[in-house]
Amino acid sequence: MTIEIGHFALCLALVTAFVQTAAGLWGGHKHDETVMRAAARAACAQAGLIAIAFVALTYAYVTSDFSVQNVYQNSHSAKPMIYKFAGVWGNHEGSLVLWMLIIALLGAAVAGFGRRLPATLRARVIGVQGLIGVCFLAFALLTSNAFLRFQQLPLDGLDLNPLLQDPGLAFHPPFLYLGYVGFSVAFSFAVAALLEGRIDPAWARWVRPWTLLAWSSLTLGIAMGSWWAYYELGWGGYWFWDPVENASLIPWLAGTALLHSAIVVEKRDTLKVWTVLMAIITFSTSLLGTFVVRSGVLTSVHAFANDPERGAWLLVISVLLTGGAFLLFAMRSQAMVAKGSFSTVSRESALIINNVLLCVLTFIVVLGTFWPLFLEVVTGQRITVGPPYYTLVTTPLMVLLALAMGVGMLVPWKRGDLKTIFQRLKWALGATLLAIGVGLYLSGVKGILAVVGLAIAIWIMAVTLTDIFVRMKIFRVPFSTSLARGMGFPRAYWGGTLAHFGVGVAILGMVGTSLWVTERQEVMRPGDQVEIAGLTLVYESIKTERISNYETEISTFSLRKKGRSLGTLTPERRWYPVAAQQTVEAAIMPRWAHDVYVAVGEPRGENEEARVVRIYHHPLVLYLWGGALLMVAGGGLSLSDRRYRIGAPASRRRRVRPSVPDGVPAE
Amino acid sequence: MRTWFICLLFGVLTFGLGPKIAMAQTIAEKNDKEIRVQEISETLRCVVCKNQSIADSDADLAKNLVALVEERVEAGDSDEEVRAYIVDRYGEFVLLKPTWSWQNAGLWVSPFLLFLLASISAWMFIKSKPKGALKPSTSLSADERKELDQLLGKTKDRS
Repeated sequence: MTIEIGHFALCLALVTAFVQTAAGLWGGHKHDETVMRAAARAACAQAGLIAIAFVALTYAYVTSDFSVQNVYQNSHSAKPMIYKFAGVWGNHEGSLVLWMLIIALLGAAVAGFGRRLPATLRARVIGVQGLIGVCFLAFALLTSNAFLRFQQLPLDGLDLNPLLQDPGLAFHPPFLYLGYVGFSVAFSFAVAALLEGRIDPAWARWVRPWTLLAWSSLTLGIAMGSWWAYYELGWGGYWFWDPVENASLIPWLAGTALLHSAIVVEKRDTLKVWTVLMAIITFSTSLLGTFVVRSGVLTSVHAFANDPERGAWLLVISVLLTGGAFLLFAMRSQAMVAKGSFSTVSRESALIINNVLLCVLTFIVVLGTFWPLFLEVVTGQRITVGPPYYTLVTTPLMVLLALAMGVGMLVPWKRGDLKTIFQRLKWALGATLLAIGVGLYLSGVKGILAVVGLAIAIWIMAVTLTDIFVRMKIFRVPFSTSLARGMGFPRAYWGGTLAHFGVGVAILGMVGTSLWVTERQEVMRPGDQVEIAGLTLVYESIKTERISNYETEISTFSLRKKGRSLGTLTPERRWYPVAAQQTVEAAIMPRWAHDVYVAVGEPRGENEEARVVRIYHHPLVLYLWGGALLMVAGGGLSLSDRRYRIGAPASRRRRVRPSVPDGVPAE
Repeated sequence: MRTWFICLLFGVLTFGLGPKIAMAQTIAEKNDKEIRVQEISETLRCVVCKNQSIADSDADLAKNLVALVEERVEAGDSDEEVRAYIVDRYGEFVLLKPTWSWQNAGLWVSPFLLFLLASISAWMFIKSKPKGALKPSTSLSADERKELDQLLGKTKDRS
């Protein structure tokens, strides 16, 4: 019964979304208060209805109701509870429900917390948000319905893909989706602004927190995903330039550009047309990513739905939404005239360069992802665009981006002069040159790309610190005065600084894995030991256990340094009988500046207990995720800045709560 | 104090960075051929797995390919010859780095072209800005002047 309620709620949500779209756009056009209010109500109702559908589906998963096709295909009665719950979004149909829930919640959030927005702008934003909802609800109901039942009841489910049975599943997709879908708000704001025919700094101030929320979530989602890949896939890598990974990186790059150009609109009232365009492009890349992930046109490690017919529909949605927005843009963008002026050496210029570079980077990732497909269609030949391509093409741009970042942070708005900037940057330059020297000494000319990365990382961190020092006047005034100055800076400043520093730290992590990695592959059995990077790894024991829906072979290793024990590692090799699939759970021992990574593979040789063991020593790799966390923390800190609470989301805590009671229609 | 602090900062940064010089040495100790096999393997794609190099993959086919690379390196082939040998048998699909060829011209050249185009447009935008935009702020319209005078007049009255 519950699943029918969910199904019905979803159908009703589609109708409500229609109402929301029509009322929002019409009401905004006619300045009709009543109609606009109806749009806001509909937005809340739509969110409530999809929340009901989501709860119903979750209930079916938790109670293992295998009469529901979707539950049967992706769950099993013996599966641990957390994966029954998270399994809701571990498949195409279920994840789509989560996706729509987030779209609707964001729409409702604009309705609920956007009270101080101009009424027509708010109504139009809600209307466009509703239109996106209509597209995806129709898509879900027509092609990917999670609420269908079987006529005959199957005995047990087919189980979830074992690779997904990991705590990562509980957190990675929701954050990733909040990131993807979060950019829909920026898109809606852009389209609404085009309809209004007017953009001012206030508009940018309303858009920024939403973009920031989406960007921070996407950053967190991507970081979690790569961390998950790092320990679950068992070969020590964290990023493979795989199409599906690229699909998340593309909106991230575009979103980063948007975040920066919106600052220029807000502070300096220029670059408006460009920012609107970036908002549209960013959400388009989100849609493109959705298409890539769910259509199966590109092969990837992260298999999801591989159905060309659904892919075609998603393509239609993307073309409709972005095509419409671009058309509107072409018609209306002249109406927006920039007011602010600035000289060549200024923060505005630095941010423009930032946008140019980020856009080219976005383009490169799109190109690399789709080139094999393009070539196969045109010439029939199959090729691969792999990591070497991306490293080679993006590195020079990263260097320029880092330089622009350094100058941009220290140069004032409107007008600056190069001499002062150079004066301030000399310490950072010195540190960078030192880093290049050390890097070249350690790795020689062969690892030149890694040395470049090292230089970029050091440069970014040094510049960020310089910026803090200059602004707080450390060494110029007594320390307590500096501290007081620092406390007085707006949170948005500290947020940005933290995020910039995080970029440097993350790049340091990437460099570590490409510069100083030690890798060993040995056939080992209990009692054997192996030396790696001055540490001793002893294979202690091996045992087999049966846990819920899988059997696992747990190996115990102890790690020692000069006879002193540093701890134990317990990598596993799991066998999932229902899915008939094996997974490798690597064990990772994080240390301050490096980590030891052990993955146990197939039996090998005559001894029954001998296994192929892969051991990696990865210096600095954890900095990658540390840096990502700093970026997310920076985003969060900026979000909490008082200035963005005006007319924008009041607090994130309240926004997440689904707004059910407000709007379920009584009729 | 300042120099001391900055030295400390650099020290922390660089030593936190190059954590194991010993590690660089272990790499150097490795057999030259072994390193070459590893490096070549990292540029070749495992055909049965998705987007993984044969150096990373556990698949049997990938292992056979690594063995093949090893064989060719032992036989004295150069890196390029080894790759050509594998491409002859498995096609360009196995190359993780696409070839420099006419069919991939778009792939290699267009990022550069876009960068050039975008840079020129950005430069023109940055340069063109001041002329048009500065004008309105330099001279006031008659109405604005009147309004301003009124306001100034008021403040004068008050003081």
